[in-house]
Amino acid sequence: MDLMRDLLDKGVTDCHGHPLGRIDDAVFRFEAKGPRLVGLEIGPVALARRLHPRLAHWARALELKADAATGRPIRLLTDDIAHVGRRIRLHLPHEETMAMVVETRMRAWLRREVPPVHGHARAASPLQSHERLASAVLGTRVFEGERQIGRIEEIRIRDIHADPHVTHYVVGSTGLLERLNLAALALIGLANRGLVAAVDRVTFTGDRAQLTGSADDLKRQP
Amino acid sequence: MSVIVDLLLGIVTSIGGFVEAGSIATAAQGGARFRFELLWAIALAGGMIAVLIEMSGRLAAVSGHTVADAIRERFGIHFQIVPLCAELVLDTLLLAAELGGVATAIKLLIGGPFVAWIVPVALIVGLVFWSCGFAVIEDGVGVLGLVTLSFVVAAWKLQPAPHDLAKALIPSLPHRDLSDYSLIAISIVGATVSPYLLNFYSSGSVEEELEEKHLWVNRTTSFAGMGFGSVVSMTVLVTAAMTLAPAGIRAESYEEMAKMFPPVFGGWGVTLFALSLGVGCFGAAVEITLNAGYLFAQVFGWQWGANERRRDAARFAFIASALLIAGTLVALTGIDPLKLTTISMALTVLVMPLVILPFLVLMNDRRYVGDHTSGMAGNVFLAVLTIGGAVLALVVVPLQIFGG
Repeated sequence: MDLMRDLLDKGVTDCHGHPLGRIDDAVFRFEAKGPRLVGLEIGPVALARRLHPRLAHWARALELKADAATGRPIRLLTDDIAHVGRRIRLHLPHEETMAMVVETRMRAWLRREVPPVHGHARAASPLQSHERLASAVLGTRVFEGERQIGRIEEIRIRDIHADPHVTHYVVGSTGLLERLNLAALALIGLANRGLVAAVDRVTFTGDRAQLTGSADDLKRQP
Repeated sequence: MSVIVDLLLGIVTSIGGFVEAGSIATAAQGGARFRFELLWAIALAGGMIAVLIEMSGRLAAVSGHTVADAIRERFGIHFQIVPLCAELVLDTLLLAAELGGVATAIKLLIGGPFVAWIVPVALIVGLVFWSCGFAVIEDGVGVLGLVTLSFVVAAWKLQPAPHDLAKALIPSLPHRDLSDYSLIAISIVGATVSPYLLNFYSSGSVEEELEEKHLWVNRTTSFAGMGFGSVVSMTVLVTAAMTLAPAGIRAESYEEMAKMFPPVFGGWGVTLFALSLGVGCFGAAVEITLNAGYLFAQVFGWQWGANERRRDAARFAFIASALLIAGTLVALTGIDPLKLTTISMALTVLVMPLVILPFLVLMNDRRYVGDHTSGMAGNVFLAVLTIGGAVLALVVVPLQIFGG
């Protein structure tokens, strides 16, 4: 399963089919066995943070002022996910998250009702030192020695339920612009094919990633 | 049988809903200033929108995604935020232009300053949005819009020479006023190929649960509906060419454009023009309002749907209402509706590449359209026209502004 292709920006629904939003980010925990996907984040703060930290600050302040949520992203655990298809369906009803607080309040206002109470259980806790956001990993420059060979364009996960460990990174020339680059080339029938690096060959240090061994050993995406 | 009825209704509503402030204004100005010379621009724009509308219906039928939904998923929020903001600004201006068009139509019928009619019109648009489902909005707008067939009747009665019309379908350069000609040509394309139409049509297809097995209905509706709709637009140009141009009227206001009907319909002329303008603009105003809700709800993953009760899709309803209020406020500034229309049409052409180019990529992605991909020739054709139009707009619009 590929993070950007199969999960990021995909619509999420609760167990009853109510739309909760879209996957705005993901959280990886770096363990001894390698990085593992621990949660997917949705909500205005997660979205704003992905666009710009200043926007996240404003989104947080607005949520707290409106008493609309916790001012933190909503983190869905991998165990919460029932099915990944055209949309991502959860095991939970929306009332267990704050994802539809604004919607239900607006509905209650229109119906002249008391708005329901929502659970805070899925409010994301602050990132730990061994955790990274997908939005921070994607686009990271990858070096072979001192030579930059590209940027991380995609993150591959073995299985979101059974084993959500990262297996490979796809390294390409344009990083987050991968989608646009592929798009532009796809218009004329070509496709950019990045290099596939096994997870144990990539080490993250600060804002860059180091490839162990030679880039010549890496295979291109089919 | 019901499929055939849906097909015929789809074609009828496409024809009736085709003509609005932008197409009337640009075609009338084109005819008044350059006679038949810009007929090719309407034909070209009609061809483009027919292809694009068919593609958006195909995307919806095969993937279950609307255009905005698919662009967010395929390209991510970093890309989507740019066309989203551009469409927000553009749709606000377009909505203001359409509200101004309806208000001007009422002014032609009843009198009074057009600004006085803006708020009542906006309230009725809001009422229709809040109380009607998709079919009522789409079909109602389309059927009422058949009053615009009065342009077809007018053009037929004026008996233009078929040879002159046929010659004008071939692109040509004018003998004078190149920048004015270019701006009107660009505006004709902008009036017809409005980005909001792509998402509106795909959203409607999802709402009406268009299936893959009915792609032939989508194809027929798109080409027949947009084709006949373009013909109506052409008859606006022809009528203006044969009534306004000989009188030296340059169609610099809707009041001047209304003079194209009395030579054909006598005392009923202005009334008929006002009804055509008013109904066409009203329908477009409702669609733009509805599409604002669609756009935001689909990009951010909220509940949406004209067939949902508004209290069950509250954010969708409130965002659409917010755009309606914004458009009303712009219209209330008193800016001439025709000027606003012309500016909006030119801006549309500038924004088009941001929506159409990613859309073309989607139409070649098998994850979305399966085996129903578009061919490379069609992609390149549309991409060249879209980019070419935007480049031309970048040159011509400043020329017009600074050249007065």
